[in-house]
Amino acid sequence: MTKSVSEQVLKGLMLLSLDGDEAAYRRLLVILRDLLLAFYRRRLGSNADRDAEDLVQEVLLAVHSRRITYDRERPFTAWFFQIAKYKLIDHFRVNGSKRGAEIALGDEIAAEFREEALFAHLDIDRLLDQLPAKQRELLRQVKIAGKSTAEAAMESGQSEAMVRVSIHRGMRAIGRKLGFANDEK
Amino acid sequence: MTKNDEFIEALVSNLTPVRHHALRVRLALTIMIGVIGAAIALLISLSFRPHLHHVTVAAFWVKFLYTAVLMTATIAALERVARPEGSIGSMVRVLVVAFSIVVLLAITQLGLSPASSYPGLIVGYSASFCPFLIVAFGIPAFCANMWFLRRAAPTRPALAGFVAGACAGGVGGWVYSWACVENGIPFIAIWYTLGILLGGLVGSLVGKFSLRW
Repeated sequence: MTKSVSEQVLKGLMLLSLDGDEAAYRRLLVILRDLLLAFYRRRLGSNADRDAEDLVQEVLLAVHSRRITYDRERPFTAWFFQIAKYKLIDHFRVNGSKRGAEIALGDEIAAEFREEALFAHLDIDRLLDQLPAKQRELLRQVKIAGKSTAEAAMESGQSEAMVRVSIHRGMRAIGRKLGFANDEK
Repeated sequence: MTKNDEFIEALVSNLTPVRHHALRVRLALTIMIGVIGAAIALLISLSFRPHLHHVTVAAFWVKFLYTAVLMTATIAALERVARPEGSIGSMVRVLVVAFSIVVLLAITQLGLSPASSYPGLIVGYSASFCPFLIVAFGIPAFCANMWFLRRAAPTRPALAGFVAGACAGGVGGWVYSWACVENGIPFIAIWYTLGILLGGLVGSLVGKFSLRW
């Protein structure tokens, strides 16, 4: 259900982009970037931030320069997912040692790289969109991008305590929206 | 984050509209280049090779249609394999059916002919160079196909290379059939098929190394 919603939204943005709509294209790329960043970070571990960001750029660049290969009649998410997966496997191939075992491991991880996992993230995006901008940004950085509260505090210019409170409130708000009132503290 | 934002802005400012069926149009252009290239190769080769006499109408059409079917099937597969989620679809099935029909026709022809004519029907005049000429005629098509694929998004390089090579072989074989002097259907079944397969194998090797992006 949610998957078909994200498919509709993303496909709509892609079709507008193919017609040359810059605003739609910007929105599409930002969504895709957030999806990919969170996803690659989780897959590569937090000490591979650079790699994750490089991968994200590579995928976005491939989406851009090879957008002619998108067939307007077919699902966008499947097309995009294949590019993201190809780039991840390529990353393991290039960066892994040349021993077969490591490459096999790369394939295994790639096999676990499922379309649903990538797009499950979109639900979170929609929940976050209902929060105030500041809270949303903090939640995104700490709970999704995996930054520490200290880092988030530095970036937002707030104290760490304020960041903690803000995140706690944001999480409670989301909990309420999801229908469980976890106000037990 | 800001580095990423700049990157996105750069992509956005570089956005140009993509027409409907743009990939298909590009593929049509690619194939046209390949056919024209093969036709030029044919004209050049005719000046070396005496244009030999009577080819039976039946043999001409078997060659012409067999290679046309192989070419069409591989062109369709080329479009699919150029897309990241692409599989080669029903290409293999079409190729197997076309090959089986030609083999049946070949067996029928052998059955209807005296044994003394078998060498002519199977090996003919040109078996030693026919497959290589088909590959050679396909070289312009192969270059065009690789150009097409390198600007597309094939996620299985060896398979994509195979399709590009077999398609080039199909184009080469089709053009070659316009002026081929053989009358044996067994000849077509063996040497034309070998030439096209050879193209596919070369393509698969080249693709494995050059179709990464």
